[in-house]
Amino acid sequence: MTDQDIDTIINKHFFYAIYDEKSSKVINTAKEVFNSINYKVNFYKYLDLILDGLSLTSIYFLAAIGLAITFGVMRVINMAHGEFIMIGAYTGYVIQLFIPNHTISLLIAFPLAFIITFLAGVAMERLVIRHLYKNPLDTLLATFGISIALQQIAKNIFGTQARPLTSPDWLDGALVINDVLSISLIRIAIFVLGLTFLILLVLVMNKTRLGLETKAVTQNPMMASSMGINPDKINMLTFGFGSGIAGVAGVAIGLFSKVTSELGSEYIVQSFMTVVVGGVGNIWGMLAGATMIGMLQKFIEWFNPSNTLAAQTYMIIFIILFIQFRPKGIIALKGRASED
Amino acid sequence: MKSIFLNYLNSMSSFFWITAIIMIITISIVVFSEAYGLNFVSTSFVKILGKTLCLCIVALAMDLVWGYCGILSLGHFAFFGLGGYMIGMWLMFERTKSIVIESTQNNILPLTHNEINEAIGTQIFGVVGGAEIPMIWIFADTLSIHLLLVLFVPGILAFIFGWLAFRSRVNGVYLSILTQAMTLGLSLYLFQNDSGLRGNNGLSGLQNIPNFDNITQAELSIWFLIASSLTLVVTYFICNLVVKSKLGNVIKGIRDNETRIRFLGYKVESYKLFVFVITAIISGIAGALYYPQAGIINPAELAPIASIYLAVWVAIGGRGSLYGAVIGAAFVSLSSSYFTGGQIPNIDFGVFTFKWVDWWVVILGLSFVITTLYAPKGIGGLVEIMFRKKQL
Repeated sequence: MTDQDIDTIINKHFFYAIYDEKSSKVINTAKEVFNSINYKVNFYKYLDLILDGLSLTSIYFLAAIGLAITFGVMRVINMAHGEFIMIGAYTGYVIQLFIPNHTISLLIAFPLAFIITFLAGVAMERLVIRHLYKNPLDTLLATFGISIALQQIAKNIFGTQARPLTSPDWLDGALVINDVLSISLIRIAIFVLGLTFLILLVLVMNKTRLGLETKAVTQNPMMASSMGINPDKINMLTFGFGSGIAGVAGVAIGLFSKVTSELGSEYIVQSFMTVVVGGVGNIWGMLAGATMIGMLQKFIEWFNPSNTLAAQTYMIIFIILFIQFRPKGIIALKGRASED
Repeated sequence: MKSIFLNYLNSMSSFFWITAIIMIITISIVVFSEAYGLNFVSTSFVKILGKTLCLCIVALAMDLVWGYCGILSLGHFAFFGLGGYMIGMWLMFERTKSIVIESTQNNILPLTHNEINEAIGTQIFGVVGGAEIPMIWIFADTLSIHLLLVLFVPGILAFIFGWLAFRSRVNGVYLSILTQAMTLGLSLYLFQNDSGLRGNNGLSGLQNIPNFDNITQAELSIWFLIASSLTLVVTYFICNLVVKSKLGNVIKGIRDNETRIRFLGYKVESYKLFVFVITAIISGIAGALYYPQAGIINPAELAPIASIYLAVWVAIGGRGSLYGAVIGAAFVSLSSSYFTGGQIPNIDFGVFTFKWVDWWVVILGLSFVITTLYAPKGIGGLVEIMFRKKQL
């Protein structure tokens, strides 16, 4: 075979074609369309990221909201807070065993979880925490004891395997806006729930007698009691209220994560971090803290999506550095109330 | 002169008691051991004792930082784990190396340096889907460097963290939460597969000491027991020295009223940092002794809960007294391994069988509550009451 033969054979074949558009108008329009599509896709990607961060924020917010009262307002380090969340989640599970309709069972579970954890909180306050108000670090130890005891009891009753807490069917789908952006309904529900809690908490703390008396008792118990407030009763009720809210949050958290005896302990460190970063004693501060932690974690995750553990590590390092600059949190209390 | 000596002796009395007790236990275990003695005590029991002694060391460190300096650190078990990781890297690397060389002994050509490293890489990092030896293992073949790392890695981490935290006057509860966050961050970091430390598999096979293949585990366990008890005695001596010195008085002053000490002109931050770093290093040493006896280390060991347990041991033993910390750690960890070991028969109530394995943690947890409520000085407090009565 000569070189010429080879050339003719090669020439016979069609390898590629160059599309050479001469009209600049067409090129420009095409570029514009391409850019606008790109812009739109990017926009929705960022929106998706922000919404992701927002839903993580609402999860952290839910997990920490009870602590905002027991730790933030009353300064009690309740290590058993996570176990109240767990009790709430198990309440939801047990009710679903009896009532197969998920919607109704959920509607019963919320108030019931509140009542159960409220009572547990009141009992704990009366039996243990009341004696330790003077020494917050001792409360840490005692409540840690309660925490591991409750965890083990749950393990003994329900076993180590995860129990399902199924969300109702109407929460199963997702709100599909386009191919890039879709939000699962359960996330929206969690967000709405977090918002409801926030409003509820602000209302209770600012507009009710209980909120007023709680503030009075935590700022100056002697003065409060001379004004006719019973500090023991207020402490008990406040602690119960905080615990009860943790229980309700537990039902919500159980809906999207597995219900195990370790459910609560997965959130406990983050919850304390949320309150500390936001600023102890301030609900808005806690909201800011949850937003910062949630968003930050999602943004770091975005750089390396396969590695969520590393994202959490970097988030924690950031928090430790952040505390250097604002040791009292994002929104620090000023004046008398800030004195420890 | 005589009275000074007596004072000195008096200040050291608990040290002599503890030393005597530990020595008696160690010597009697050696005498009754499988390897060197009458074969009454099993190797596994010797290991449990050796590990308990290591836990006593870290409890001493915790007592110094919390009971004497008032810093409730929830991170000292992380330093303990780091020490374990540092020694574990050397153990695992050298052990794998000797296995690799042994398995290719019959080859005609001996392996080159690179081939050996490749084989070690696949052996160690196969489980996390890698074959390369990460950068942090660069010194894994040198024992001396890794012994230094046992001191320096926890020490430097504690220094950086402590410097940041104390400088900005993060105190009390906030500091506890911050140290807890640090512990969580560290354990999460180690949990990921590309941390270079085998992710959640951790390091294993640490009970085999490289180049000591012909020595049985029974003998090794005795060696480690002796090493642990000596380290405990030395640590106790150092801690006692610190506590009884002028430095100790300042530290106790910081615990009781930090502001006043600051106004007296002491640099509170430096003192706190000193205690924090020293105790972190002690914890690292304890960990380096503990994990070769345990045989395996994984990130779960560093989880925040372990550090809280450490605080609770010290609380149960009695914070603010060194012997209390030792007693607490020994008591809780020994009784835990006894009650969860399955040797105790379950109690049958007919409808309900009381299983110790299931309910032990509940009892333990409730006993924490009762201790903090009714015996804030812990077991050490009881000992004190006993001795006081004798003196009267």
